[in-house]
Amino acid sequence: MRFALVGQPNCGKSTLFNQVAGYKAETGNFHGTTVTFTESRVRVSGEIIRLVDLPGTYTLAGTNPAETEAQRYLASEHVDAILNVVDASHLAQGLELTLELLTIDRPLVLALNMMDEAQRTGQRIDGPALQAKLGIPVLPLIASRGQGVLGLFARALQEARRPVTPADPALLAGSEQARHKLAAELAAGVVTRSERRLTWRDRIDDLLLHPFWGYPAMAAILFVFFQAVYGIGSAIEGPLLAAFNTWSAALAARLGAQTLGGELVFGLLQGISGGLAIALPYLIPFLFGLGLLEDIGYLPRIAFLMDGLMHRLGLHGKAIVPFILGYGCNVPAVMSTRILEEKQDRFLAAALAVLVPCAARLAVVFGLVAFYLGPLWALAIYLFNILVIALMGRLLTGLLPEETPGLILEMPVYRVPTLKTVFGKAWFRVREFLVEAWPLLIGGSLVLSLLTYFEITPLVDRIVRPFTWLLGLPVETGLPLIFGVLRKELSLIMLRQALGGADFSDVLAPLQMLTYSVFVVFYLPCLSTLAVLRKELGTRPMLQIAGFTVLVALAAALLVRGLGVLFL
Amino acid sequence: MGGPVFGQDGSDKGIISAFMVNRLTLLQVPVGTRVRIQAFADNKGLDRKLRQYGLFAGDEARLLRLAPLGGPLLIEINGREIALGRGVAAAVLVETL
Repeated sequence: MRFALVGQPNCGKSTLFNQVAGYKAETGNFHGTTVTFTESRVRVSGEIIRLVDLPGTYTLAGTNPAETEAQRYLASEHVDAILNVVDASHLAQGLELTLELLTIDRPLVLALNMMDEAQRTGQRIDGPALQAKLGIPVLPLIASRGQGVLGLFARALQEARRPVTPADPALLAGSEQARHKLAAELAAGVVTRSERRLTWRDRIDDLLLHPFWGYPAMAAILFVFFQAVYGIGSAIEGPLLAAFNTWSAALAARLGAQTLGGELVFGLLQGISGGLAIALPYLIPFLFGLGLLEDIGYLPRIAFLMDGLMHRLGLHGKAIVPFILGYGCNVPAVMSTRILEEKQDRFLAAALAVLVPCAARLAVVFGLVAFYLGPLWALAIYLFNILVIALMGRLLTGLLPEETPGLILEMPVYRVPTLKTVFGKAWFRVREFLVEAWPLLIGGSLVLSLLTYFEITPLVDRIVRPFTWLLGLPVETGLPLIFGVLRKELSLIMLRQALGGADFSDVLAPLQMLTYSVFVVFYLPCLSTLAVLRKELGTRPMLQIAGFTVLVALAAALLVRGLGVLFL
Repeated sequence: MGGPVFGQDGSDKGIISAFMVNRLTLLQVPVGTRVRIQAFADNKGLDRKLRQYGLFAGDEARLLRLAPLGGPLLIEINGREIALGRGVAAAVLVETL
């Protein structure tokens, strides 16, 4: 038995999916985050159901790749029942898709989600009347709280086993315009509106989207976010790293530093402590904070405020989605460029999104720069990064001139974040770090141990020497930079090991830390990002983007070095 | 709707500015104005894209706010808030209510 979840962007489909499937899909109060579909097995009254979460789509006849994907799937694969999720607070709009779904004659159940939100905006919906008019089951749902979920699935099971009654011909509209009109009439017939209660959610945009105060407010929000990540992260990194350094020194003294065993144990400890003491302390608060902002619905507000600036980069505000996701991980960022209609825009957005320092690079910036030079320097790197991206955007649009269509973006209402979603989302990424990145970090550290023991390291360092020499970095930084392509955290964790486990501040001058971090932030996206670039755009664009990032990284790091020599 | 072709170069600007001679666009009304959408200046399938976001000719909308720095407009339509870039807003022909 296979059910498909279909709905318009931001109607709460993924929230419903996560309620039944555990945390698998990326949800956000932001449309366009689900671009590929996720399938999961769920058990409903003893029956195993394969549940597919399709990308949000306004219509089956879509124009962007995310929308075409949903359409193709429903047309091709065998689906036993379609669960159509509709945002009850915007019923008329949602019913347009429902009317379109009626035309494919499959078992269909309509879930009116966000009933609480509809109530808040003073709307009462007559469910039975709607059910009678549409001729399909209509059920209320509050997916964020898990209310109505079981009933919905039970009903869908029933429907899947019953032959489909053809839809009322009066409901089969020929054109989009006709469907719009019909959906509006249907909604008007079942919704009674009372006085809308104005709450803080309606007032808060007067400040947060204010033409002047919106910007200080945004800066303040991001600053608090940044400070919190730094505060929590450094409070853990300091003592934990000190403890690991003591153990590692004690062990080295016991085993003898020059033996193979000693080197390997040393490498192992470096890999473990790197993940535990340097990466995770920043990663967890960062992902939690990002999830919180996403769930509240603040991210599209940033798009609204920044669209004017983004336009000057030759991108429209919609490209802010890849940007913001990029701060978490570049892989979903590149995937989300699918929400852009023009191929040119997708290339541009992807090329710029991979320059965004992801959570892995965050570890480098925070673990090295913020920890040793102070959080303001880390903030400076982030601002410098945005500046460089802006400049590159300007440059690339100059090289690839094509008019970009303007922004069209729905501004979701603010929601009180549900901890379950935010925790789930953060855990999703943390788990990925634990099972995919951390073993790689430990493996990388062990490989480095072997390379050091067999004295191969200098050879590799010499190959990369032109780069490190140009940037004024110690010879030993060569290998960590190479390994950083596997996982960006390796650039920091292996650096510590390559420098003999010494405290960074003993070996690297402040300017060298800055130059190194800036280079790491910009150069070559990691292997997974390269792979997804290739999948989304093709081999040639991937190579172009990879080459482009190396040039940008060199230029940016050299600029920092030059400025540093002049002013520090 | 395939509006008439204005301007010899076929650029959108020509089409839009020609429309603006006697028609009002969403870009020209002050914040707070209630409008009815009349039509969309045919602009590379933009009308189609707007319909997907629920903007149809005949719908009523209200201009809620403007982002600075040439940023987008925020309109309320059918109970939802949608941000439109200025280029898009310039292609939405309206009458004030």
